[in-house]
This record gives sequence, C-alpha cells and structure tokens, in this order.
Amino acid sequence: MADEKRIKEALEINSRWSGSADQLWARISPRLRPKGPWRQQRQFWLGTAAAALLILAFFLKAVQSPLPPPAEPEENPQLRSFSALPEEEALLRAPGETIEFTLQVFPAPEGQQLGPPLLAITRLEEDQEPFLVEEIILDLEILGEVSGEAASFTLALQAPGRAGFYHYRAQGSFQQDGIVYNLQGAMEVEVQED
Amino acid sequence: MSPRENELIQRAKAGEEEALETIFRLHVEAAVRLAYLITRNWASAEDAVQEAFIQAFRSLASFREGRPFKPWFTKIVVNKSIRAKEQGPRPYQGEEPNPHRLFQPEKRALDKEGLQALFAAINSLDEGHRLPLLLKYFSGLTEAETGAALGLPVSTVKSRLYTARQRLKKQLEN
Repeated sequence: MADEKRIKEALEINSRWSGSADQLWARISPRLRPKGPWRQQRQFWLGTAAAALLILAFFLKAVQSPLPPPAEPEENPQLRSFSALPEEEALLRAPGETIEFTLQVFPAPEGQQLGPPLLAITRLEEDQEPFLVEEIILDLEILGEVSGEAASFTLALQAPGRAGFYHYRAQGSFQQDGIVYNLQGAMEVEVQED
Repeated sequence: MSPRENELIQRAKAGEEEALETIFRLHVEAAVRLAYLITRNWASAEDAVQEAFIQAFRSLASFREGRPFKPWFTKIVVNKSIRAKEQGPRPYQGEEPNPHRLFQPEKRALDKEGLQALFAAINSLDEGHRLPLLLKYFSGLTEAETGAALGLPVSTVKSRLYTARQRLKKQLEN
C-alpha cells in the first residue's frame, strides 16, 4: 500500500503556488464592497415575477414620518463595511411566525427609478450559492398615504416553514399623483425550529 | 476553533475588512494549492478560490461560530474547483510552476524517491477516490470532515481511502 507520508510529500511538492496573494485579494475585495449607485445593485430575477405574484397581506401600520431619503452607499462612510454581510443581527423566528419587515419609501431622486416594487426572499446555505426562495410583487395600495413625503411602513410577513438563514430585500419604484417614489428594505431572518 | 479564529470570524461578520483580509491570508495558499490539485490548472485554481472566498464571505452570516472555519471553507473550495475543472483549462497569466524541470537538484532527488510517479498515479485515480485522498492527505481534514465536505458517510470515506491506497500501490508496482 502507498505510504501515507509519501502521498503527502508527492502532493506537497507538486502544488507549489507561485502566484500572488495580494493580486488575488485585489480581485476579491472590490466584489465585497458596495457597488456604486444603489440602483445598480438590483439582483432580482424578473422572469419569475409573474409566477410569484402575491398580494401583500396587510400593513401593520403606516407611519408618516419626515425620514430623509437614505444616502447613496458611496456617500455614506458607514457603508465602508461589506454590503454582503448583514447590517444587523438576524431576527430569530420559529417557522411560520410573524416577521415585521420595515420598508422605507421616499421620493425618487432624479433619474433613479428602480423598476417594479419587489420583495425577494433568499435562503443562505453554508456551502451553496444563495437560493431565491420567493419573489413577490408588492401591491402597495396603502401608498396613497405617502403624500409626497418620506415614510416608513411595517409589513407583516410569515416566516418560512423551513429552518435556515434567510435574506429579505425589497426595492422598487412606483408612481403616485405624478411623483415617483422609491422603496427599500432589507433584513436577515434566522428560522429555528424548537 | 481557536480563540483568535473565533474573534476574527466575529469581526468579519461585523463587516470589518481587515478581519476578512486576515482570514483570506490565513487560508489562501492552502486553498489555491488544493484547487490546483483538483483542477490541474493554475488559472482555474485561482478563479475557483476567488469565487470560494466571495461566497464564503457573503455567507459568513450563516456560519456558526465555534466551528472550525477550514472544513467549512474547504467544502466551498472543492465545489468551486470541481465546477472550474468542468469548464476546462485556462491560460495562466502568472509564472507557471513546472514540476518537470529536472535540472533542479531538489526535483532530481525527489524523483529518485518516485514521488513524481506517485503523483502521476494519484492523478490517474477517478475523482471518487482522488478527492478524499486530497482532502485527507493534503488539506489535513479528518475522515469525518472529508465526508462532510464531499457529502459522503465516514464509512465510505474510509473505504475509498483504503481502495485508493491499494490502487496506488498496484500502479507503482507495475
């Protein structure tokens, strides 16, 4: 039988890397940072939108508030941290439990329309590519209350039935009374079975 | 997991770029070399490792602290490398290491010991037997970790390692 030590040696001497870790890191690190204008970060699969059409169940509350429009990532020094990582601690929920998901709505800056308002739910597996679980077109009848100002809304959603780690992201544009609004929201949810 | 690695993971989860870069530097060389052993092409290996780090860092939120990072990351490297290999060999921009440069005294000595023949024999194994061998003897994973990385029961890993070593012996005897 082949000697284990010699197998290790054979693999060791035939895999010496002459490349540069610095160069490789230079290729990786930009892809972990925010990518310029927020509207360029959309990663929705529009082809599945029709099949996933869902009327939003209800809004728990619609709070009129003088929230300023969120800053663009490149203008916000706090976003030097990596956008791919969760910005906050994941919300812990049991399967099927209610999740409160906050949306921010604000008049769209000139030329920054984001397409249809969509909510994408992505499952994150330890060793897999992120998997799109569901994509929902938001029915935003409630947005008659926006009245030209920034506002935040809390949606009541149901946690997935399967334990795991999920990323929720909503964004899109809509027009009302001649004003174009953008909406956005993101959160991480960890579903744990008892 | 060591306290230092645990701390690094926590900082990386919080989005600290310096922690991510430290994790990258701790694991990059072993990852590229493993990817090369799987793909047998340096460009594919570097691409696979690049994609593996990006996926790992993006999925870090789902990584449970307290577990060792290496087996988890190795599984991602293996998957990316297999995919890169399926896409075929690619030209390498850097200096291609040439294991056949026999004018090197070190290589001559090693060849006397038959290590190049052994390496050729390892590469002639089918992937089902070669991959467990690489993870066990190059990456230093346990048989349980190797099984987890390849989606195999430990008993299967043990059996494949045994069979692989037997086949290598037979090839080297011929």
